[in-house]
Amino acid sequence: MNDNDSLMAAAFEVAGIGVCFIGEDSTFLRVNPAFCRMLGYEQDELIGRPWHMAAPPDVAAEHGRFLGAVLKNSPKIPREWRIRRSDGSFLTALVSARAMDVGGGRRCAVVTFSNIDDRLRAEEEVRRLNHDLEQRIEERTRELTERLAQLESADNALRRSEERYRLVVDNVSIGIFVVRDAHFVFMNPRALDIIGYTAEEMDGAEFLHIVHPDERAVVMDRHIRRQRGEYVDPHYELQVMRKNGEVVWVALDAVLIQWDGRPATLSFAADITSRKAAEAALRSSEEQHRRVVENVSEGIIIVQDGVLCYANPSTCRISGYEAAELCASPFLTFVVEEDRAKVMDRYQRRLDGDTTAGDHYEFRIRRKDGEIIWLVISGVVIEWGGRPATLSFITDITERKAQDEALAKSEERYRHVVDNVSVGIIVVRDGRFAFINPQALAITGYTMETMIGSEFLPLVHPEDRAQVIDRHLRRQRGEQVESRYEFRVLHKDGSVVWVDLAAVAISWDGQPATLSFISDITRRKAVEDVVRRSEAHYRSVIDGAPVGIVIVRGNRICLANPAMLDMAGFTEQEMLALPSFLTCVDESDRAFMAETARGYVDQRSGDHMVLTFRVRRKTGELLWVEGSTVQVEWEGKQATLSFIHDITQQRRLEESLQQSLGERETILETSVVGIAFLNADGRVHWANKAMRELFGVMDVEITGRSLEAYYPSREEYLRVGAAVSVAVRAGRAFESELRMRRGDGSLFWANLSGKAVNSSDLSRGTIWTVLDVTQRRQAEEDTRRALAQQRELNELKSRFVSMTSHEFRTPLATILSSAELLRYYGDRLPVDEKTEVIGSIESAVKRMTLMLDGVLMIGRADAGKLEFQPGSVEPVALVRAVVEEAARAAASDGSGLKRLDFSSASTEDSGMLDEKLLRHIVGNLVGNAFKYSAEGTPVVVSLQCEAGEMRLSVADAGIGIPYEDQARLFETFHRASNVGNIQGTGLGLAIVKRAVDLHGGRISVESAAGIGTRFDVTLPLVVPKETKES
Amino acid sequence: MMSAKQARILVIDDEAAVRENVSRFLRLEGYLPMEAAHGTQGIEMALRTPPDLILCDLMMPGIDGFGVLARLRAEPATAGVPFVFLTASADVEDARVGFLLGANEYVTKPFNLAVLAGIIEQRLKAARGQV
Repeated sequence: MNDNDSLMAAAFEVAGIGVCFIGEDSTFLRVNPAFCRMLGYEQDELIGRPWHMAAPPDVAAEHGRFLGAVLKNSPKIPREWRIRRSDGSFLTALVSARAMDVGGGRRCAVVTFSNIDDRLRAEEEVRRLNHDLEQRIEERTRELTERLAQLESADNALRRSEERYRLVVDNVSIGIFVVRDAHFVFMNPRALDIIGYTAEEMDGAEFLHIVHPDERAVVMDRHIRRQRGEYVDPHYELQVMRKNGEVVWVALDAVLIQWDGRPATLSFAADITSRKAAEAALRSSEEQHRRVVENVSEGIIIVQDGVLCYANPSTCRISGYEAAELCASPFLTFVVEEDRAKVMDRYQRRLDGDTTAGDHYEFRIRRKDGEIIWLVISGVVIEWGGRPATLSFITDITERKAQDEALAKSEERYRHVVDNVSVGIIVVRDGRFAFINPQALAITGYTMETMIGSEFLPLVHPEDRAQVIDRHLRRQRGEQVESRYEFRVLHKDGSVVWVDLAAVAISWDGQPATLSFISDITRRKAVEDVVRRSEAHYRSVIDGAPVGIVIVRGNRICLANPAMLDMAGFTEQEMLALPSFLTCVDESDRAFMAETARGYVDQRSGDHMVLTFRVRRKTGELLWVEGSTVQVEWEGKQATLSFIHDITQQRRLEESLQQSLGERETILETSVVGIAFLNADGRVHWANKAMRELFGVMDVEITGRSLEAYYPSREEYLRVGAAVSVAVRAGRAFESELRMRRGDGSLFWANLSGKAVNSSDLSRGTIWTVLDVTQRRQAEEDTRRALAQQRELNELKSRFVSMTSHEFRTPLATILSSAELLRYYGDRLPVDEKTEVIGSIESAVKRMTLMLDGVLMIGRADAGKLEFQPGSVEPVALVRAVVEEAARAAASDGSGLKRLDFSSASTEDSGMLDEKLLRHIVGNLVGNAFKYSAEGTPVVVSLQCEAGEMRLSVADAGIGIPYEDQARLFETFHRASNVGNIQGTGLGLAIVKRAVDLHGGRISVESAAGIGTRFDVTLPLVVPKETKES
Repeated sequence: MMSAKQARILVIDDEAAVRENVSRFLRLEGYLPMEAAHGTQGIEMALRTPPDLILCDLMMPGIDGFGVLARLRAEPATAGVPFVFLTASADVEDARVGFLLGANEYVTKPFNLAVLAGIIEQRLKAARGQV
């Protein structure tokens, strides 16, 4: 030990501050006496013992870290420690420490302790003195601080008052929980209640555990962002899982707090499951609604100020544009140029409320891809954003238009064929020509004008008429009649023409008719004759004949002329080599051909057999032909001679006609608009399904009948008919909205529009469309009614205002002037005048009171609160008193004297009446009679009481009540138009009416302007039972 | 108190209480009031002895205030007499019509007597100045 060491050792022993050496094993290695005194231990009680025996338990860990840092040579600033003494008391010391090597690679901490308890006490004393000195100021400050403290955050408040905190947190209806390090560290009962766990189960549980799996990612994201210091919306909603597996929606408000000195999240949770369910229901209903609009196959658009505000997906699909593109430009830019004027006109008219603008019309738009398509649009005016707009439904009818065009083309084709076909075509109805084509005309030699409508029979050769009539009658009877026959026709020039006729029954303009194809067979007949006589001679004729001629004997073909060869496509050699004529016939027709031919040959008849069948050409092509066969002798043997006509064209025509009719019918039948064709005589030729449904009738109930039954009356039917006739003749369409009658008699509003099929030929009839617009009409009607009610209320209000204005100002003028007279001139007024002035105040007040009573009475009556209190009353005495009172009042107000005539007849002295109400009735009626009649004219009042009734009549010869005012006579504040400046409130008769009604009585009036008025009131003298109870 | 010649004022009003109070007030103010209970009587009295000023109600049975004014303005004797409407009508349209017909003032009921006194004094002074 050197000097220095000795010095240090001595200093160690005598130093006033405590010094100790603490080893790496945390035990005291050496302690000096001052340290021992400080702690109250002997030296050997400390050496080798752990140092934390001197540390209070709550700070031991902190002290340990401090010493650990010292031993690792980390510099440590001095600090204040609390130290535990042997007797359990504590002292405060200023501690500093450093590390020291003790050899052998070991180190220890040298720690010095200076007791600063005394210094602290002194400081405390100074503070206390200061405190005393400043007490007065501080008291005030404390009060304020306390109040501030009360207003501090919930966090602080809760910390300060454990009691209050518990009470609030445990009973609050909001769930409260704290999450630290992703684990629950606190939950109040309500929070536990929401998730259905007990406090024990949740203690230390992970927060994510209760979060719905779908939401965990979101929650984690929020957590991480908040940790990073980003702003996270404190309010959010999430789904949590209850213990029983139920899912609960909660709304959370989270704030960051310190919990036991570490950051944590305090959240407030509310169960919003039912709100969410309601929201979901709402959303799903809105969703359904939206889905309908978005998925409906029709386009839906809203146009305001000429620009689209909304277009549903179907509109986009139809137009090929995106909704945003559609809404960016004026609607018209999409419409093709030719149709813009029409669309604009309709749009404007519809906005202007023109109901005849029509529900439907068609126009073309240019799609985004440049294609032009046809649309049909139907629209209504709606409010959109508080301003008018049109809501329209659009349908792409391009395909239908194409079909229409195809139909028109097909009809054109048909006409072309009919006009140019080489066969004659006629339609006969009721024995007269309804249609005849140029070829048929050529056969007869007559002109179209003379033929149409003329009779068919005179044209037939007299010898053939019986046969024609016979066939006709048999066909009418429904017998099977050969559709094909030959007869002779008388040509205009007198010559006889043989014709071949094939007839089918058809419906023509709704009536049965016969459609016939006729060919001139005069030449054929001639040829037949020639052949019969001399084959050889007329060979050249046969060869040149335009019809196929074939002679068959047995099965062999003996002769076939060039026309026949041409038809069959064989050479003569090939033809004659065929095993049978049937080889030329299409397979499907062979069996019936063979059968018929055999039967015919067996009969050995001289008649013609006419068959229609198909020829299969050598090339495989099929031809429809008509064969006319007759039995002849050929080279001494029985053979058949047949004339074959190519009728393929004719067959095609028939088929095309059938098809075009079918197409048209399908289109019209499936339309949603009611459509009907009417004949020129107004009968329904055809009505589609929609039309039949609209009127609720069957096909047979409507077809062939007039529409008269569907109009509300015959007058209406005739009126519409006349209007239609005018429109149709002018080539215009007729359109109107009117009531129509269904099959069951009920009425509905229909939009009816009609147009001639062909405006230059009215005999073609008219085409009609009908739409049910009842709902729209109903809505308009309701709106009108509501407006009328509103107007009436406004009128009542303004009547009330103008009445009160005048009727209050007049007595107020009296009161104010009287009061000022008394105030300013009172000393100069004689006593009697003063009395008079005071009297005028009283009567003005009385007048106002009466008026107020009237208003209140009406108010009570209208609220159903006017009471009916019947008592025994002697009507004659009461009425007489009231009448005389009214007469006196009238005389005193200066309106002149009238002649009062009162009479009464009574078999009943008393009855159950409400005296107060009866006074109102009589007083008002008699008062009015005086008020509205001139001086010197009579007022006649008569009263009868008999048979349980009181009948009062009040008549005057006054100004009367104009007829147009009589309907509103009993309305509140309503006064007749001729009262001029005669004062009145418009309340009297309203009160009379209510008083009569309360009695269960009746009141009626007879009046004429300028002549006079008479009121009759009848009241029951015995109170009806129900009135008594009410 | 008053000049040698007392001003004559005609009061036309069908409302007796108002008419009497106005007359009473006029008398106490030193004027010579005359009363008419309706339009016809008012016109008669005014034409017989043209007053210095007329106070007239507007809404009266028979001939109303407008009728009285129109008639009196058409007569040379009364064409220049100051004419004041006293009316319970608060309709500004009525006031406009009154002024168009030549009324000098339009006073709505209820009115203050002091105001009425001022109007009468001023109107009479103006009329004298013109003469």
